[in-house]
Amino acid sequence: MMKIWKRIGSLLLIAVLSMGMLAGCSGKQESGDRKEGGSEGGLEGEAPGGGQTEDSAEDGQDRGAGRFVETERTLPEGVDLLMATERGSDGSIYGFGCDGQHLSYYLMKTTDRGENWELTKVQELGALYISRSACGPDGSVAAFGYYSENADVGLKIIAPDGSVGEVPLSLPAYEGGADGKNQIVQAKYTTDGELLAVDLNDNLYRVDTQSGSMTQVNSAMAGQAGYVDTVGDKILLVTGEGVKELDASNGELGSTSELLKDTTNKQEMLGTDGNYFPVVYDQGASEGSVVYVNHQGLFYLEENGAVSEQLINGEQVSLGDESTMFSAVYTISQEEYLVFGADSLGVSRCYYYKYDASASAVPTRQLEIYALEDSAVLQQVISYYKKENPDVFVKKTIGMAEGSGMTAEDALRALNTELLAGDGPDLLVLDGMPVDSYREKGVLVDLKSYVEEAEGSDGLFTNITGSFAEEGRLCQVPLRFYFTVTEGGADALAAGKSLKDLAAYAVACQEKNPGKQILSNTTAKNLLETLFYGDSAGWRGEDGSIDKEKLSAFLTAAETLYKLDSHENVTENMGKARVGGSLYGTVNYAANGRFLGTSQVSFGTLTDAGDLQELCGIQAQIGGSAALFNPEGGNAFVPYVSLGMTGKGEENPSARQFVQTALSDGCQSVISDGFPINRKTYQDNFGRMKEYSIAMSGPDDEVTGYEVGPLGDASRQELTAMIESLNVPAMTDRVILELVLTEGESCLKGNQSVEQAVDAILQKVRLYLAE
Amino acid sequence: MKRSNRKRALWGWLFVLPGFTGVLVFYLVPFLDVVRRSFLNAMGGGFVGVSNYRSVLENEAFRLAARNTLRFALVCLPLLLLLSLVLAVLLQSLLTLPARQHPGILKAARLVKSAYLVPLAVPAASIVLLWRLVFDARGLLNGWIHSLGGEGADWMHTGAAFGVLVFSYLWKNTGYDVVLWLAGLSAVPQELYEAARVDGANRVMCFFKITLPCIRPMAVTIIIISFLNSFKVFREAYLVAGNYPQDNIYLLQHLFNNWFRELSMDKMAAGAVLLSMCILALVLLLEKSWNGAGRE
Repeated sequence: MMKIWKRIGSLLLIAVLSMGMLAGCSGKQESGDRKEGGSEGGLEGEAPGGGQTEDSAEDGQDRGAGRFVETERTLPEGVDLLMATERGSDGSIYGFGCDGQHLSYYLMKTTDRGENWELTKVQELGALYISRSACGPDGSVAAFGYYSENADVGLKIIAPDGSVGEVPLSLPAYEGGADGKNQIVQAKYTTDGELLAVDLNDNLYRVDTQSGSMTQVNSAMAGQAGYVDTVGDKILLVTGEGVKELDASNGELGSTSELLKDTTNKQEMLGTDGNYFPVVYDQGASEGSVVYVNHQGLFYLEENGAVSEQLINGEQVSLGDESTMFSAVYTISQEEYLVFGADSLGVSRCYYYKYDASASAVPTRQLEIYALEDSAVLQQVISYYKKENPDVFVKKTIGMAEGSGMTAEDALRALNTELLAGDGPDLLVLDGMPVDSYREKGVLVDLKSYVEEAEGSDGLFTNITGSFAEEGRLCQVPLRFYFTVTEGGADALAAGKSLKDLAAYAVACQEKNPGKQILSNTTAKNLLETLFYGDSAGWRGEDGSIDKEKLSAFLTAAETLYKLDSHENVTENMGKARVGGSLYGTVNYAANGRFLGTSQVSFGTLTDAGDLQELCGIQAQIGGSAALFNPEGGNAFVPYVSLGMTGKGEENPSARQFVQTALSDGCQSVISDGFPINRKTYQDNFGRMKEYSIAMSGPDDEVTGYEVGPLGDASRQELTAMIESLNVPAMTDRVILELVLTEGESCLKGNQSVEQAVDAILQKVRLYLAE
Repeated sequence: MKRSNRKRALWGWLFVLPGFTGVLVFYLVPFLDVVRRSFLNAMGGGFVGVSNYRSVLENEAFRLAARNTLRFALVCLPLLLLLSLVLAVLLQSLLTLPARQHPGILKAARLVKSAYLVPLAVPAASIVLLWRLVFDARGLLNGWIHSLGGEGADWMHTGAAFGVLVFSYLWKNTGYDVVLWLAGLSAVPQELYEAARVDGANRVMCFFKITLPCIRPMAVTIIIISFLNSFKVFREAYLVAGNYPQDNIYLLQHLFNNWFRELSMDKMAAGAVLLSMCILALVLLLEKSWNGAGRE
């Protein structure tokens, strides 16, 4: 009997061990990385703001019903910038806005959830330049600003009928230094109609709109106010240590729930500009509850609740666009919310969300896009596509997401594993990826038909798209591009035709101006990167190897240029074209130096027509023009956000639609960075150019500046000719770029000679190419 | 009797089954898939015959990496085995001293034995930091050499990088091998030595006639483990010098790592099969030589 039990026990043990081992092979881990530590019940539950329901998979299986559907509300014509909003005591929403040039100001009111707006033009505001404002619950507006003649801060109260009255403001002195002047950085009305303001000292004040006197709301919180929001009878003060709750009636610090406290962090606070914020709050539909919006979505927090419930998933709507900032959220009812914000172009937006019980809990179709690094351009394209296709869930995967610590190589290996398993993304943003390898191995499909279709409707820069054709196939389409230019007088432009001549010209400049800085401040790596993109297109021989002489000439010229200046007080991003997912025209930065007399030679990236606008503004003052940099090395451009489609994507109609959308004029016109690949957008952008002024401090702290206006016909034609002459993509191979930057930096900083750096690069590149 | 043997064998198989299933699922089946892939194109879409093998064998980077890996093994293995054996024999002779007469020596020997294992406990990332500090062109080693009036070298970017890698391997693995040798040495019956000494054998004769033959089975295991450990030195090489180090320390793992990044699964699979065949051949050769020596 004992023997039998032993045998049964042994068999059971064997079975358990076997199953345990095999269990590791089963099941795919869900990739949805939900934030906030709360539930997402409202996403797929029976009612928004209600209980939790099961989170369905994103693969199209087992989807429940019920979802908040986004509708964008159009703001009234003439209002480009919405400066403040508030819910009126009668439930209507009031707004205060102006045109793009701050010439006309309007009071706005909607009683139908932003569908229609009543507009009242504000009377003359005088010389006060409005910088911050707040709408009151009665429709009046408190407008803070400064007078251009003395930079003094003023306050004007705009009555609901548009009449304006001035209030003598008693603004406390700036505590950061005797030379500085205090300013109001944010203003907000409480539901009781009391005006709150935050100043440069990070203090929160109550402002008397009759006398203009300012009283600190809570002196114990002095110097801690990041920005302020109101929820019912509470003031939510966003500080570096999280959100703090104050009683609106007496300013006393209340107990803040941990969940509410953690809804923002210090990093997010840095993103505020006084009008737009990373997190905004409102009272929820039930007593004591709070609703807040951030890039993860819209969340509902019950009074004393243990979890924050995600009602709207930011990824599925426009809220997830990291370049969007928010100004306010309003609870219309348990099933309706109104969110105000601004997109990356600074255009004010109003989104209306209504719960649709019949809509599937997650969009019925899915599209997966993979990029190594995030960018504003990708965000904007996805946002535009989502607006056009609300039934498609766009899953964006960033290989080297901020804070993940992933290297490009680790990310690529993870991506390759997915591709091999047939589980990869539909679309790839090919920047930084081994494009040649993917094309040769058949990962990427031909996009020629999409390019031809877009070319037929709006026209594309085929000199750019065509340069990626290989054996009649087009596996890569850049959505945007930029290039390097030299800026200055005729002698500078002549020298800029080759890197060697430019270096010689810079040396001659130094001899003429001893002791003066020659180049604008930049790091060795950023200088190398700028020059690399302008010169590397012609380095490769027919066998793919790197030409030693060209590489040597490149490093010699770079070393000469770098050693002209001392590079003191240089920070990491100075002269860098790509920072934090955005693109910057470094030639403007360099030209500003020439304008101020702090540098003599300017060259760098020209990333859009707006950059040229500013260059023209500078050149109108000090003369000069711009020309393509180093044409002797090839008329090179840098592709930016290049799309590629995988075999899996080819079978997904949403992926095909996405490529068509991304190349269309509608989508291209909402993108802020880079030159558009779409010709129609390129032409139309000239019509959208605005006039503005740029003011800056000179070397002796004097204020100077220049006017920027729309490009004239001659400038437009020159730019178009320059773009049409681009015919070869700069070398964008990440491995080679990194080798050149690493060894080159060491060379520029004097740790090794040019010969040693060239040998080291070639030895490694030889191995790389041999693989 | 026969029935009982069969039953016992069945029970044996049942107990082996979980372990064998693991090996099958996690090693053998994936390896068979690698063999299959070595005859397909990169995305596994079409049969390409032996062209992957041809392209790998013609690949300059593969040849360099294979040469370096082989050279590394040929240089390191004898050095490591010899060094660790000498140290183990010395330690063993100290450890077998009578405890009452030499308590201090015995304690010290035990301490040294433990100390040898310390390098194994140091994380690769820490070793790399130390390595950079010592072997950089402006590092500590060159500083010491200069202070002694000598001429330093760029250790990591010249042929000297190979020497640095060998040093790192020996430093990390000597202690481990010493412990393994000690296990083998402690299993040799002391009576054999006593009998040999009675017959007039000296220490050298005892070592060659008793110690070596007795620890031969252990030697095969240590050689295989040391050989496989020699592949692990890639971690340090990669962390110090990246994907493309100095030519002399560019190993097969660098190449496989880079091929994976480039999605060259075809070449990776063929390369992996070739490498496995080489390792298998070495193991079989060692076993054969051991069996042959055993019969003698």
